[in-house]
Amino acid sequence: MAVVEVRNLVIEYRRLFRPPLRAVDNLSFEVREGEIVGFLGVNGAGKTSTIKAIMGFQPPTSGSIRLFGLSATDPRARQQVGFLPETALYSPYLTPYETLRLYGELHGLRGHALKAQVEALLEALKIDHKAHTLNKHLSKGMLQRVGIAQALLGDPKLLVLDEVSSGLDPIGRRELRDLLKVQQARGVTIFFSSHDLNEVATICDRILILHQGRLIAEHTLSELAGYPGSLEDYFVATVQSGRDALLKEVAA
Amino acid sequence: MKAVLLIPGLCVGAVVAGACVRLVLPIHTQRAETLDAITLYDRSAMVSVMGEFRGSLAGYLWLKTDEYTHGGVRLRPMTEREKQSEKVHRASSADGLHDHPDETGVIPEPERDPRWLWGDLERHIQPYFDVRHHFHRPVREVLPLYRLMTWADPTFVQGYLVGAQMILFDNKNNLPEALAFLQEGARNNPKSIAIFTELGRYALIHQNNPQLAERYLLRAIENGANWMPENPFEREGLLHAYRWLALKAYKYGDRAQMRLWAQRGLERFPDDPPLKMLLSK
Amino acid sequence: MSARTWQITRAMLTAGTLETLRRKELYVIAILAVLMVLGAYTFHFFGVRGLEIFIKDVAFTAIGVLTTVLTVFITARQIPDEIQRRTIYPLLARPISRGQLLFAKWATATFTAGFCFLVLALLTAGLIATLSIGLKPIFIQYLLLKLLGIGWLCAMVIALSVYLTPPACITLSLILAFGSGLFNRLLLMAHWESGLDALWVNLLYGILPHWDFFDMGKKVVYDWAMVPWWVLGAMGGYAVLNGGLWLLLGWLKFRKQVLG
Repeated sequence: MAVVEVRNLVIEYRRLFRPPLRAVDNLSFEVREGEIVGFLGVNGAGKTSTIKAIMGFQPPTSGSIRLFGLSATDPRARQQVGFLPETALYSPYLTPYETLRLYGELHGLRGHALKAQVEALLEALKIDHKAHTLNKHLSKGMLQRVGIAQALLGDPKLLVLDEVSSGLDPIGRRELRDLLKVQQARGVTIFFSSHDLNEVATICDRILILHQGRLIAEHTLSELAGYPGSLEDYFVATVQSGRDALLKEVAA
Repeated sequence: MKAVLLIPGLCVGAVVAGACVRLVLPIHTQRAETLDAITLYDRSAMVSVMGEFRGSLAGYLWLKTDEYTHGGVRLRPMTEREKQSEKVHRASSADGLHDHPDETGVIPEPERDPRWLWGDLERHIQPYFDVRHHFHRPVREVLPLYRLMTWADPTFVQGYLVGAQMILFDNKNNLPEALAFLQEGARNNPKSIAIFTELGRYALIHQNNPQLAERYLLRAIENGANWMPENPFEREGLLHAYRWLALKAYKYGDRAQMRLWAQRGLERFPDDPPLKMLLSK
Repeated sequence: MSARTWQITRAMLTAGTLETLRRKELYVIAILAVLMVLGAYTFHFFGVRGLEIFIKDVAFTAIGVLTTVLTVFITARQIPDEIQRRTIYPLLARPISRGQLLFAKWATATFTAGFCFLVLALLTAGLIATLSIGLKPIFIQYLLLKLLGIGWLCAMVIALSVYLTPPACITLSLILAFGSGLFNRLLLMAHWESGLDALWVNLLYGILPHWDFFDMGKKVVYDWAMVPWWVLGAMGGYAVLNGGLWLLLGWLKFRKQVLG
């Protein structure tokens, strides 16, 4: 079953006195239940725009997005989704404990279940010793852990993570990989964007490569096993050839 | 680059234009007039700015006195159209003691308010009374404002004049306090006309001391010699100095002196009926 | 209100109140108000008598001005701050609608600003009571009316914050709040002076905000009697209808707004 279904997605940004900027161009893909899918691309490729559209923050110019068979803008669809945005600065005047309680309550958790889940996540993400320190006194890596913890609140069936490892030190990255593996073992579907290709190669089942708003490659990791170089080599070569193909298309 | 030059250019232009306007139209503040013709306010930018602030504070408190007197109800001058209209009521009272000719309430009476319920709400929420039979609160509630406004701006002549009247109005036994207040005003404004006229009037009416009254009134006339103040308080002070000198002479039976002061007064204020009347007596 | 909306509102309210208290703005403003009242009272030591009305005037003017500024600043940052910090994404990633978020943010702003107002007003009332200056029962009506007004003002500011940048929203809100009395007076004068009975004048009068109608501070200062309770009921009706309209306007924009 497709957890995320993107069909002919087009996202354009209107600009004053200039033609609109097309950030995503006729993009179609699916993420199936239990998969870990890496969403790759250089800066400005359209990854964040696509993720925002999947989460319902960005209305598509055309095309459709469905989560668990429901429209992406339907709040019920988000009942089973955990989301980590790129570089969110959680309220500097709340503690990690209060931050997680807030998001937990917004998710619909309450009472003992909420308290138990918040405490478990603080412990799992190793931020329990800073649970009652104001967010403004936390390091960037610690804040990213708070973000990951809030994404995991409510036992989501789909995790959408934008630049998940940003700000984490090598130990934090390893712990994150382990955590995602645990989530996958629980049957959670994970869709994430990252620039850390080593991390992608370690945990992904499948990768999607986006370039200038278009999907230029889609492979399982096992399909890439025969590729002579590393994932990074493949990524660079694919983006380069994609760029060349686009240039030719434009020239034609 | 052009934009970078434009902003300082505009600033310099504004300063030059401001200076030109200032030269062509010299600002005669009420305070400036009570000092010398060329005052500190006109010569020093910093003193002028600080002076304006102090003056503004005193002016604000001056306006507040009206609000305090009317229990928070605000009155305003009537427009020309309103003066001719029969629908707009003047602020008056049954005893006639609290009349304000040509003033009406800021919040209109129900019969001339087009806002129906909304007008009724405002009349309930904000302090309101029908200006035709309005009231005044006890004078003592206003007295601190006169003290504060003359502290804020010791050259605020009308503060001393009206403040002294209010001190006396609050209690007739307060004459020493009222006189002390006026004398403080005189010390702070030795070139004022109105304050010395007022001191002269007090000496004549309340202290029954014609010699002292004459000294004050002559001082007022001396302060007003060779120039005609534009400030209505000072202008009226000058006119009254002549009137009181003539009246004093009349009271003590010196007709020649009475005519002399009336004559001199008419030289400065040719159309003043009381002075004309005194001259013809 | 559904149980779910109440849960969302309560969660946002708790977080918002904690944030406001920890920002320490309330303490700064309370200290400022106390200093203003005590400053006015110091004239007593310089021999000025009969300062009761003056002190009350200073106190209630300070409460009025500070409450307006605080309400506008607290409300204007509710949604823009979330967008700027990018925390709007994890919020909206939860199973909540944008309408629920807007409502919860309005409720948070209203509660926080109302709480700050009550602290300021009661602190000042206590302070002037210690100076042996009494307040009449109309003070209770003053508190209630102001709380209604704060709810209405928050609705206006939160709607403007969706359409405008934060500095523009704050500037316009402060102009509309502080200038409301003047605008209304000018329209009324235009009506009399030019005989303007045109529909547009009445419409404009209706559209322009009436923040000054929520302030009975002057009546408290001058010890007026209590007003009939229907006046508060009518103002409550206005606050609900007009405030609801502002929230609706805000929602119309916010529900489709591209965030970030």
